[in-house]
Amino acid sequence: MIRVLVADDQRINRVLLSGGLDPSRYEVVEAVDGREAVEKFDIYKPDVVLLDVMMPQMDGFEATRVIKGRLGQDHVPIILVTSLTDEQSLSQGMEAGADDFIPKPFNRMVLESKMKAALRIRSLFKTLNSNRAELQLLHEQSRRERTMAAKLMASALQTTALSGPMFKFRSRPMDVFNGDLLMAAETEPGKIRVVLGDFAGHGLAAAIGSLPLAMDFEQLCRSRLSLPTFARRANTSLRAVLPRDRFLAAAIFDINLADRVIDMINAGMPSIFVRKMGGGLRQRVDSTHFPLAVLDEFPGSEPPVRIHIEPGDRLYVYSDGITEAQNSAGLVYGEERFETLIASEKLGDSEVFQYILNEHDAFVRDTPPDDDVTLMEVFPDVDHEESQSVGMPNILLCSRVFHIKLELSNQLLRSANINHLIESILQGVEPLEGHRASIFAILIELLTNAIDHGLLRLDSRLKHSLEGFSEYYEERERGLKALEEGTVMMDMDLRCSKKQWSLDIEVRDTGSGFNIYTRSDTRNNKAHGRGIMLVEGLCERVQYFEPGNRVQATYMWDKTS
Amino acid sequence: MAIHTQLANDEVIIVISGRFDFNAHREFREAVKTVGHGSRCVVDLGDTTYLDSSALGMLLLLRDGGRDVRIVKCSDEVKKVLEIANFHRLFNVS
Repeated sequence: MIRVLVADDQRINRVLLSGGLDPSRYEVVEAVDGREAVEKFDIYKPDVVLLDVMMPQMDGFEATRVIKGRLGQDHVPIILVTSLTDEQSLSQGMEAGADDFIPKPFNRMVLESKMKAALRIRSLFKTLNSNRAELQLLHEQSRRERTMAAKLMASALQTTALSGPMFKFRSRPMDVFNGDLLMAAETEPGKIRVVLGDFAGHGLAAAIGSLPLAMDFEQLCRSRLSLPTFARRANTSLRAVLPRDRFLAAAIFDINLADRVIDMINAGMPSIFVRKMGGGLRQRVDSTHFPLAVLDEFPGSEPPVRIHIEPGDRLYVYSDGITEAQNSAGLVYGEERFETLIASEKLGDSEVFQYILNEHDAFVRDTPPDDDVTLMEVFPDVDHEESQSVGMPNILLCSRVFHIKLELSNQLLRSANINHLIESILQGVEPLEGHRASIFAILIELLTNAIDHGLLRLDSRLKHSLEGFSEYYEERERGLKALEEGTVMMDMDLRCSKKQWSLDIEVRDTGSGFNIYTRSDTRNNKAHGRGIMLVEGLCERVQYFEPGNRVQATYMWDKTS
Repeated sequence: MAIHTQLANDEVIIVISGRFDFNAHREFREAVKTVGHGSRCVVDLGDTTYLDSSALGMLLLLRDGGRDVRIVKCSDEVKKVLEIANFHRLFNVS
């Protein structure tokens, strides 16, 4: 049934209008003036409204305005039934939002046809609205799924070696998904294998293609395959899954820090540039190979190109999204422009990377990108300017071997044997050979201080006598059992340089801070306060940060020993 | 971690294997009780993998009662920790 609201202050008019509507199709609700029409509109939610114009309390124009104002996305046709036929009244009605007019006295045929037209429009609106809602829902769902998938991809592609200070990169997809691929892993200490790839196409289809390679990547790197063998394997694994019109252009290279060489296979990527310190080009590596997955067998006839790194050299690898970018004027960025910037003597060495990005952004300005854009700088000699800000001038050619993050919650501290935990962590790490006892002592001291003084606020002076010693540990045990809150966090980074290993340790606790030095008394041979002295003796540097709940320490040792 | 004591030529030998840390304090105290004040004693760290500052503290307390303490069979790693703490000046370390 179609519900019609009929409002007129004259009973006879209401009867005539109701009588003009076929009772088998229409259900009529009547109102005696504009105000009642508005009230009944809210209650009955009619499909069409027929309004007299001249009514007491609220006239038809005002009632039209009020009802239309409440509709939102919905469309309910309002037809004014009026004896006013002058132009001004009609335009007043249109302005109020009326959809149509029926002149009084009305004709049954006119009423019927106007009703039909009004209902047709209403039904169109209804379809439109439901389509729109459905579309919005689908769009939202698809956006969520794409974001989720992009996150999964990103975590699958994340590798730790890239977080070292040697690399700078920016990779910006034109879509949610990135068809550019950047991976790096250490094949053995001091040797890092990097792949910067660019899939044919972009978006989801291109990004998915990187998964099989990404999944295998670290495994392939660990198995210490030579660069050409690695490229052949990667070619085979991609060829097996990619459709025939898809392939991966890639720069695949090994950075050998000890021998100061980079071996490079450029398979279909734009030319790779090496900038000399102070400007000028040391070397340019053009593509000599087919992209991966083009041929069944990756041709191994061309050996990798060898780059000898001189001090201060910087390597630039990028996807063609940089050089082929077009701006709104139709101009192409171009390789020449890129090469000129790389070689520029006017730019400071450390500024080049950021300058190119800024300049590129300014070039394309608001033009939406039509490809994924990746730029990467490799700077093997991180010692010059960057590392000074980190405060580790001794680390040359540094790369991160592992990162360990420990979070010891109060629940864990209550029950676990922390010393045993640390012992088992150190056990498996080969480079620590010969230094485990020192590292163990450092870690335990820093952790113990955080637990005992940071969380439990114990007094070391108890440890004057053997009895007090026991008392201290009994108190400590009681304190730990009752520990309601508090966490101790530890971060460990093992890095290697050409000659040295270096272990950076940071320990933080959620306590309010303590001053380890006023709690220590190392002048005489007291049985307490020895911990921090031991740490200071073993470490290259130790620093507590205000308010005393965070400490950093660095322990270093030579590679030969 | 395990602590054993044995008597040889009027000397108490305290053998500590595994981790020597605060978890050892009870056993270590029991071991110290067997060493009389002013007597001689040997701490055998041949099987000690790790030690921390509470272990150093315990060694100091062992020495406190006027006992003549020798620390023997230290691995290079353990010796390094002892030396950093200047223990080779207080003890006979070998």
